[in-house]
Amino acid sequence: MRRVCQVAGLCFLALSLFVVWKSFGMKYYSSFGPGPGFFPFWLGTLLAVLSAAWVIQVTFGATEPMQEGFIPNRAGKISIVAVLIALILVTWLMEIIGFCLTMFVFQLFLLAVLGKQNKVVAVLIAAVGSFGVFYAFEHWLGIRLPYAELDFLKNLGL
Amino acid sequence: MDTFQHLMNGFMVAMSVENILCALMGCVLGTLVGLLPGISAGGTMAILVPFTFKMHPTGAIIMLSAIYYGAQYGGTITSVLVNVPGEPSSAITCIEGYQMTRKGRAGVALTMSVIGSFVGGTFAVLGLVVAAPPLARAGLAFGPPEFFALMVMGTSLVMGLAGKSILKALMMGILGLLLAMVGMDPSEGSPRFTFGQVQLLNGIEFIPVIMGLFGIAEIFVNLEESMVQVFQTTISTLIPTKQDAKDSAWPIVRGTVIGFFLGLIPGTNTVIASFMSYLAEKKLSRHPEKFGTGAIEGVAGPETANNAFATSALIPLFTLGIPGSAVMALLLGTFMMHGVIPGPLLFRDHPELIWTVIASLYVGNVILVVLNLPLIGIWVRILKTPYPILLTLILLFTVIGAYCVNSTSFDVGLMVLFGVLGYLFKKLDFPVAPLVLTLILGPLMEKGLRLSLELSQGDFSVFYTRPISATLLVLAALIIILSAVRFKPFRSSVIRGDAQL
Repeated sequence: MRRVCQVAGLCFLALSLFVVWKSFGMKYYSSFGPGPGFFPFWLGTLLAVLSAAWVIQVTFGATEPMQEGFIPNRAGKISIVAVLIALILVTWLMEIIGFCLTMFVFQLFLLAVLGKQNKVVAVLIAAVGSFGVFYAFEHWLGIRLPYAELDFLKNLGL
Repeated sequence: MDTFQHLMNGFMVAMSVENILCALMGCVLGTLVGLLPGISAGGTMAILVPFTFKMHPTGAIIMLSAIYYGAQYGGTITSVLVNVPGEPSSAITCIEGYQMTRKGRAGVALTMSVIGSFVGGTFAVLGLVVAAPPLARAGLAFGPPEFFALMVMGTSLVMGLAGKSILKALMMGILGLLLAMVGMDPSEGSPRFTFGQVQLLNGIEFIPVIMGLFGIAEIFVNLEESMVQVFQTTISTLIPTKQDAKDSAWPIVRGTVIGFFLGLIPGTNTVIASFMSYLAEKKLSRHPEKFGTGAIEGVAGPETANNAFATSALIPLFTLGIPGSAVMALLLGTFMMHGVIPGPLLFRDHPELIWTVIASLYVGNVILVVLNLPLIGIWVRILKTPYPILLTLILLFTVIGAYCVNSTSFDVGLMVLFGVLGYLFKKLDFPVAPLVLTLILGPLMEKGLRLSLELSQGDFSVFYTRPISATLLVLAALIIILSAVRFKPFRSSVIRGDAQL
């Protein structure tokens, strides 16, 4: 647990030092009062002090035992990584192949592959959750969800 | 116009079909998320904020508030029936509630908790009606230095009480302030920490951030364990005996008082309210040995307290613009998104909106009684929904919600990023409440500080020569110091749940 906390503390420290360094490029004080660099400088400095204090505390203080379940089991890890990758792909693909196709595949994956639900139920829910939701948002709520950028998909109304 | 007339006008507007539908939708959603373990009221509210863009501000606030207090009702159902708290605030109810279920008295436990919640919620609304206008009037005397100091004190309380380590809470608070710095600088209009990204010029949108920190992070935590169907109980009679009513009367009264007063203090939370009520009942009981074996007092008191808390927590937000928790900060963000700034001027500038929202709290409490007693069978059936289906629906709406903020997938990516960070924060025991609070209050704090210094022509003594701001800043410093030295009332190591949010 100590090593994990040290790494986290150092990440905070690195972030704070970066903020302080960036604040040097901004005006500290202007005729109207504090300039754009005033807050970042002091907040970055304060965060650096606190992060350093935390790193010292976890390094020299009593070691906190690792909580039960701190590291998920294999199945848990696979599920988390799978959902994370799926979400990153959704973010990337949504504006390329459109909302309908992206969300249909995404939901099918969550239900049929990850959730091991009945295939027919999975297809039905994914269809309603993608094509149905797209239609409802566009026609009933007046909210436009992304269309595909690729011409052949756009021509299909996706 | 006096308070009573304002309230009556509020009731008239709150009783419109549109507003009743908003309250109903909020109550149904709140009960639903309270019922389902692993989905929090805050997460649901965060997911739904973008969908309120096109709503009237009154309807949007009514719906989101109803989700919050509705979840307090819903959380009880799973605590009582399956010994799994649907909401952190109902965790303590598991102790007595589940024992009552094992004795075949689940229906009585649920009825008493609904009655308690109704009484607690209703009296807290009355308290809000009485206390809010004078508090708001007092707030009108505040200038920029006082508001800045008040925001500093509010965030100090949240940081002081959130989580086990003041160091971590302070780090998170500062991280929130730093995130709030991203975008155009308010004084000179120069970009800060935008890294050439056009999407960041307007700052980091709080909606994707909270959706990630609450919604996505929660999903990652739930994915660590396979969520299986847990419900196996049936409900017999819902009607309590005369003895049950007698045993519950005083716990309900005490729960109302405890919940109401704790709700006024920024940094406290519903978990503290229900725990305090439970401890009070156990201490005051003539038969403390009954506790742990299905004592109805241990259900009625805490359930009353958490609902009274949920309503009275709105008072500091409405009157002073100070959100006492991450969920209240979320409501503050929603107000601001609709161009309404909570605070002393709210009662003067938007009386119709605020009094309608207050009246709707009462309407919502009545709706919740109907939803939770006669319709209990429906909620029990919903408990059987497989988790993968719920997960899919939640992710669908989080993606749509984040996208709708600016119609760009950049915000979806931001949400995913903060989801990962939120998960890591949970793992490392970093409370996210201070981050959310300072992210939303950051621009207001910066503006308050700038205005104060403009008024004083750059003289920082403006903060300690004015009595109110000096007192508030001293209090803020004291809170942080007492939290750092682990002064007993500021020790929250035993109280987890949404305190750790």
